[in-house]
Amino acid sequence: MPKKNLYYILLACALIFLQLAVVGNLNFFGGRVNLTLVVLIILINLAEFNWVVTFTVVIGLLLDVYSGLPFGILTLSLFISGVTLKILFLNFFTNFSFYSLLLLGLIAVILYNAVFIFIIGLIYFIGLSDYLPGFDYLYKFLWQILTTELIMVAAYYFINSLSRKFKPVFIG
Amino acid sequence: MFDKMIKSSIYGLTAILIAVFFHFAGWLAPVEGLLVTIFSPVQRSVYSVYYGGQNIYSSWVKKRDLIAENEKLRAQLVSLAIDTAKFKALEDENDLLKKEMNFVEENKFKFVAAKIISGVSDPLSQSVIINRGKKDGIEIGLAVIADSGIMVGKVVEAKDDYSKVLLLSDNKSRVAATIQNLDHTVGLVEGQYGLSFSMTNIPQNQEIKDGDLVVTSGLEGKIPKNLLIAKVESVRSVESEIFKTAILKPIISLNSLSDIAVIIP
Repeated sequence: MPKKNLYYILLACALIFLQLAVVGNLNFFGGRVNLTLVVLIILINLAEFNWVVTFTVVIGLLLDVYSGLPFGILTLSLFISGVTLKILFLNFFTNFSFYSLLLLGLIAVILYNAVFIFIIGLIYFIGLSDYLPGFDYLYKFLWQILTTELIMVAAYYFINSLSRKFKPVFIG
Repeated sequence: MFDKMIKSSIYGLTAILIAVFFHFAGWLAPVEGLLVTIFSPVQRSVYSVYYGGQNIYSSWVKKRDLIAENEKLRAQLVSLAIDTAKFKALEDENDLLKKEMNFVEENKFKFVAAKIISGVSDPLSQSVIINRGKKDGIEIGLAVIADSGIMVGKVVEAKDDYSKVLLLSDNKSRVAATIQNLDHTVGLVEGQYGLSFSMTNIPQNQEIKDGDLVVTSGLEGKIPKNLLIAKVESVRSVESEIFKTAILKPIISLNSLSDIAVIIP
């Protein structure tokens, strides 16, 4: 099992690397694709709690090295979202269905952005950062929901073609 | 099960807090530098491929726009030919632009050539990471130029082997600038939601017209005077306000930068 989880983490690292090198510069009508969240949602479905924690900490710190915001914000946002989502998954979304995956994706984007805005707002009011999301962030957020869900659909069919871990409960 | 989860979460949170403390104490800098150094060759290659792909698309768009522009220009050619005064103005502007383009060579500035490794990983800031750092003489606050003398940003973080550059379009970006008009108007060039930038704090009595060039004022110690920043696109003025704002048009696109240079004063 740990070997399998390690494989997920390595695969996740490769995808995050892709996020940093390409997707970070790729804009869809002004909104960036958050590949990290997609990987996190898939990991929540496949990996154990400890590995979700490890993933959010390692990848979060890696993202923070390349971030223009105060160090730690992305890690903390990702960590809080990851832990909350895994608890939600273990209690409500255990059937690996297509719709539960999409709903988890939607909750993930909303939760991650809510935590991110809360932390960035808190740091702004303390006076440690000059960044505060404006109204344009709402536009980016809506695009992030759309792009994340689209990638989730693609990822669902891709993973389903490789493994039967995601059982198509609602679709034939 | 629940206890195990709480335990893991506490370990994770502790690891984050330790990492943040180590980062701000500077103890994590060698590890961060090593990470960027290890990843940068591959990242640069991937970024180049991405940039190349973007160029193909831009070329296609450019070609399409050029054809449309060409047709429009043909229609305007007759009237332009008789408008010698306008022609003279364009000629003057062209000369000025040429001078600006050769600015670095003419002023014999010391500069460090750099390549963009990647964009940043957060959704708020408009920054890029370049492959030059303190070891190459890069410091915080230095001007970053592209296309032979057009200022595109400022260094905001300098590590040993790499640096972070805040682009002019970032909300946080502020550069002291002068408009090349009769009054030599001084103001601040500020980023606008990552899309464009504007010049603020312009007194109402200053005469500004569309197309005026905006250059650095030299009031910031580390940024030399007369680096070309942008052109005035329009002026927004409300009579009841003390200052007016000039909306600026970038000379080059900040989204397709690849090779840049950092000016060392």
